[in-house]
Amino acid sequence: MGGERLLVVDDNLANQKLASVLLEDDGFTVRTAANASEALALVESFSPRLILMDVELPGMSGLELVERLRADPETSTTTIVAFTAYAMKGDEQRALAAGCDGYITKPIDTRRFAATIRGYLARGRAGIPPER
Amino acid sequence: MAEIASQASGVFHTRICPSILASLADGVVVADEQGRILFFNPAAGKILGIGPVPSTLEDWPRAHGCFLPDRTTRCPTEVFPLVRAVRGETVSDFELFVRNETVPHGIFISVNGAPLLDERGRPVGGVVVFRDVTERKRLLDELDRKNRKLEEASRRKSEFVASMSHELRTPLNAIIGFSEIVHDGRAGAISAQQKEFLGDILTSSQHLLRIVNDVLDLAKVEAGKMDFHAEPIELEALVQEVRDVLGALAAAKRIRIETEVDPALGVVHADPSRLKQVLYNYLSNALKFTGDGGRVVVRALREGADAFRVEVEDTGAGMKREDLERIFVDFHQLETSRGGRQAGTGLGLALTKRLAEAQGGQVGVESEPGRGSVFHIVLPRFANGEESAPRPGAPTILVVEADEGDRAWLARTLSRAGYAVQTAASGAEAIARCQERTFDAVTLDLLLPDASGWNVLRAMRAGGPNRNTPTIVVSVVAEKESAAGFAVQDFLVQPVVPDDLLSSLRRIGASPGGGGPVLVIDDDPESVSVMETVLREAGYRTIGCTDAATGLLASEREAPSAVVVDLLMPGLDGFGFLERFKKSPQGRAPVIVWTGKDLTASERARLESSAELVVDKLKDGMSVLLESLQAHVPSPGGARGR
Repeated sequence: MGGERLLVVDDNLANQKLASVLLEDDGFTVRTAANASEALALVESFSPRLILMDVELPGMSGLELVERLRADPETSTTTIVAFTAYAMKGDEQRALAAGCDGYITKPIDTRRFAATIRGYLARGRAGIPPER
Repeated sequence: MAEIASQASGVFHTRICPSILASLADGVVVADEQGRILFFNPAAGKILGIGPVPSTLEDWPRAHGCFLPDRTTRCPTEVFPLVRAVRGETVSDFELFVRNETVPHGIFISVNGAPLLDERGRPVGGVVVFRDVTERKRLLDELDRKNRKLEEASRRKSEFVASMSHELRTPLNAIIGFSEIVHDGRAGAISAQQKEFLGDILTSSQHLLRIVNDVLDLAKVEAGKMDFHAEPIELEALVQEVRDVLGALAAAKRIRIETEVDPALGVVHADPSRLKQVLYNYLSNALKFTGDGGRVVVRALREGADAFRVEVEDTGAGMKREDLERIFVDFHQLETSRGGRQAGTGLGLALTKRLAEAQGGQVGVESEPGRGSVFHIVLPRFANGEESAPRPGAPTILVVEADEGDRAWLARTLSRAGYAVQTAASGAEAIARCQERTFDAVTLDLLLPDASGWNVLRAMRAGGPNRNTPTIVVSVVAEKESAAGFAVQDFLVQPVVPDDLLSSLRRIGASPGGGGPVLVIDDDPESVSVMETVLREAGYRTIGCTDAATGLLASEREAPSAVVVDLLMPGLDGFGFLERFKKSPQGRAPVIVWTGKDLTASERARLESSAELVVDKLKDGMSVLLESLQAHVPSPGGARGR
């Protein structure tokens, strides 16, 4: 189970670091990206099992990026979890409609964060158990 | 008498009436049925700018320059008020635009009109009365424009506040997160003093986060973008939860908190997280303003037939009348005037008021200086909205979940699907609930604050009303292996989607739509089809199978409310089916053996120990089968059978 590859996409470097520190401490292998093009490059070279996606990125929005990843057969079944500080009505539905498998709001609970991510990984994309 | 009246009437016509008409500010014009002007008061000339002109009735709009309110369309003769009045119609508040050489910029007039009748009530002409409404119209237009501008500004403000709140929460995520890691010693050992200071940073950042959240909530309520999720609430537990959060504060000041929940209140439907927010505001205020060793009472009682009231009484300093009026106003913080300003956002009460109003409720306070205050909120007992009270007889699910958000989500998902729901946030609470009644199913979180979910399960299975209740483990930890030895019917890993949860419940036989289908198993396809037709006509949902193995599979996919099974079948026969079915988690459903076989004594004994009923195809017939089925499983939409 350890060493699963995760990609954290967040333009706020402190938050990016917080998420990756928590996940690395839990045994995951983590790469980070601060924008859509870095994220796309890493998706290609690193093939993460799960992507934690800040939905407000500069340039291309996180949700646009999710839609693009979903359209690509290579990443259509990768677990993608939206990661945002925004909490207005309809945001959750928008994230799920764009193709995210779930939704985590900031500020995160550092004591539960890794377990929640593990839960998403175990569930896989839309209830389809992931291939090992 | 008659003489006086007639004299008065004469004076009215000859003297009073002309005086009134001459001094009226409204224009009055009277025409006969040919359209000849009989009367035209001075105000009419002043308003229209032109006196009575010799013209036919049809030519009036042109002669006086009368247009429709669009200012450009000449008023058509057939809608012209005087024409309509002469025609015998009544006209009220008809608006016209008048522009002619005397009134070059034009004015708006509002016209009323009525036919002029003779002694026998026949129309012999018409009267119109009109006034200049240009100024009023201008003011209204201006007001409307200003209003729209204000609404736009308010919308922009709400958007700004929402995006500001987002911007503030982003850095707070890192501040709180990293402080927590270091504080917990997860980044290496730290000294006691470092831990203390980091605790201070955490407390302050959490306070800041609360302010930011309050601001965001206020903006959300104002913009009508706040979601409320009503669910059945047990107030006693909810009050206790809030007390627990504030327990340390109360203990530090040696304040005794008393709870009085009226037992006659029963179950209320409200949004638990919002109600907790309100109660937290009230209770933390009460603790803040009550002196050391004082007393605070939280009361919940019924208010009329359809509402309930929660109030918090303190023994603090109380407030002056003028303060009472301002206390629920935004950004008003009384503590500024009292000195000793403490951690509050100044938004708590304003937010409380908005939250209550947005849910069809209200807030208030009674207070007297030196005698303490009583703050209250009144909310409808049954929130109207997407959720409604579950239908009588709906299966009741106990949701055991530590995380508040997940608990609310589960409760919401289940009650939307038609289940009645009770919740427990801890192991102790779950075990207590399980002793009170039999649930139709339990969803169980494994990470509880005071116990492992397995302890709860062990307590349930050890005896009492929920010894056999189907249980679904819903947890973030995927330790399915440790379920061994416990009768767990399903295992779902968080995050769960509604479909997984609901189909899992259907599988274990807790279906909100009045129970699962009746499973019909017979190797003769014709018999299956006849039986299904009869059962459907009686209101049951059916699933037909022509062999017992398929029947078993079908029962695993969706727990049947009852099974009708033939005995003699190739492959797995009725006896074999019964043996395996009764051991399965769905095996609580009644089984009716439907057979034409002449049973031996030992066969009969074997069946009687496992099947609920044996019906003879030839001797008893279909009507006996239906009757006994209905005795076990009422049809349709009734309570599900056991």
